[in-house]
Amino acid sequence: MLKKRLIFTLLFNNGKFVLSRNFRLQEVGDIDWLQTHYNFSSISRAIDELIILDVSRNYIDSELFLENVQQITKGCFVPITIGGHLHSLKQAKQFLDSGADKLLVNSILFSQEELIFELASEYGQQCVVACLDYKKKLETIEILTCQGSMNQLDSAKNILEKTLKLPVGELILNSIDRDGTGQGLDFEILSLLPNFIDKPIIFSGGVGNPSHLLEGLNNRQIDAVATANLFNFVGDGLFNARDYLTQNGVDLAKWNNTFFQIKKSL
Amino acid sequence: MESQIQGNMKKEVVVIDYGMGNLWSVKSALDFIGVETIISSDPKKITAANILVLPGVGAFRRAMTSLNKTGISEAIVEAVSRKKTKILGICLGMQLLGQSSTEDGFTEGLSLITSKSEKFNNDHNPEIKIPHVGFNSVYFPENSNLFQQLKKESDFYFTHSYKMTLSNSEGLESKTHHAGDFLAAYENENIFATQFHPEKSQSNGLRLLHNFIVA
Repeated sequence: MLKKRLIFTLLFNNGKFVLSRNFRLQEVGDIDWLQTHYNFSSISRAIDELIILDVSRNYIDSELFLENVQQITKGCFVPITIGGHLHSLKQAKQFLDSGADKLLVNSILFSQEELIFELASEYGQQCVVACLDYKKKLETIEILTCQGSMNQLDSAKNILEKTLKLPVGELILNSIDRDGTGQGLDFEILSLLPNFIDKPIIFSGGVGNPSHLLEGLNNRQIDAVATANLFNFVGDGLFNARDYLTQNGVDLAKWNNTFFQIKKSL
Repeated sequence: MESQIQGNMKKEVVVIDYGMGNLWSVKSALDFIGVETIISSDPKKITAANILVLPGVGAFRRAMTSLNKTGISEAIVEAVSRKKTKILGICLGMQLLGQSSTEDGFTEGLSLITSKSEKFNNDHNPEIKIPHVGFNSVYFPENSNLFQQLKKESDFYFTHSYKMTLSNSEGLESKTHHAGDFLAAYENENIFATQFHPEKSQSNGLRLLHNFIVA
């Protein structure tokens, strides 16, 4: 049986890691700060996957971003998805050469659809993860791109259907309204999904505590839940959350931590 | 002569670079367990290696085109069939060791394993998701070398839309359940293959890589 997944997301903005709230960014520290306070390779042992996004707004230094990615993922033996400002095959190759297993795509789903097909034929569609950011306006759900700055005119229902038909391997649904609020996940958008979805759905936006993760992972339409909330899962937070989820019956992968010690000269 | 000195030589692993693998991750997992690893696309180094790893992310046809164009195909076949060099094929690397795949049209593989790769079929159950992504349990035979010390039904990370089916049953088969049982790992003499990514499977994968090196 395929396991449910607990995913952690790191956001990078011009040299610093940041927290996001409704897509407004708040700096928390650089990579040294992150390593000192969070010992990331150890934290990664409590999660199933890692997403690292370059959310820089204006000046984009992808070399610096990828250097940080390489450093942060040293000693992480989980799948890594990298995204942010991806606009060419050449960049995709740089992302993958820097340790990415999958590429997150967002704005180019609309502006460069042909690139989605090229990425899929080059690397296989399992390598391409679509991410849709959405927001509620009165009673309707709107899909936004370009870091939440541009509304897509088509209805959310149509966009969801269309995106799922593209050669992408997974779909992340991220609520801008709940982003960074810790108020819990908003499940409303699930009702707009087609009846049969043959691609994994990753849910994100609003996780503030382990019970929010549980609520998400218990939903049969959801395969994985992602959280970017560094502060709520500080220290043993993610390990405890994982234990809590397993104890409450979520079928998560298990691994033997003593095997991390098998470092030896062969 | 060769086999006499082999025992004293350091176990250097060559991770085969044909332009489409997650080489960095594989190398960093091998580094972590203390194995000397180099990444190379040089057919000479591949033929001379003690141990080979064939990683892979991407589409079968493109991968074979690249392997054939660079002379790496011949080097691998020479090393594995004639010199009996130990090899581990990972994910697409596993499928490349087989005879063929239907990904992007019929393409011949390295034919070191009698098998073919085909897309998962969820016609009978549209709720089965494809690609098969995430950790899933692997059921392995007790005499497996790859899974020594691992708990029955250990979890490993998969991400693939195509799966390999054996045409004979010469080696040890490990299975995973997704739209029916499929081949999750294979081992036969010096040939080892995993459909999942050990380098992405937390400590279970590190243990498996260790087992492969010492097997």
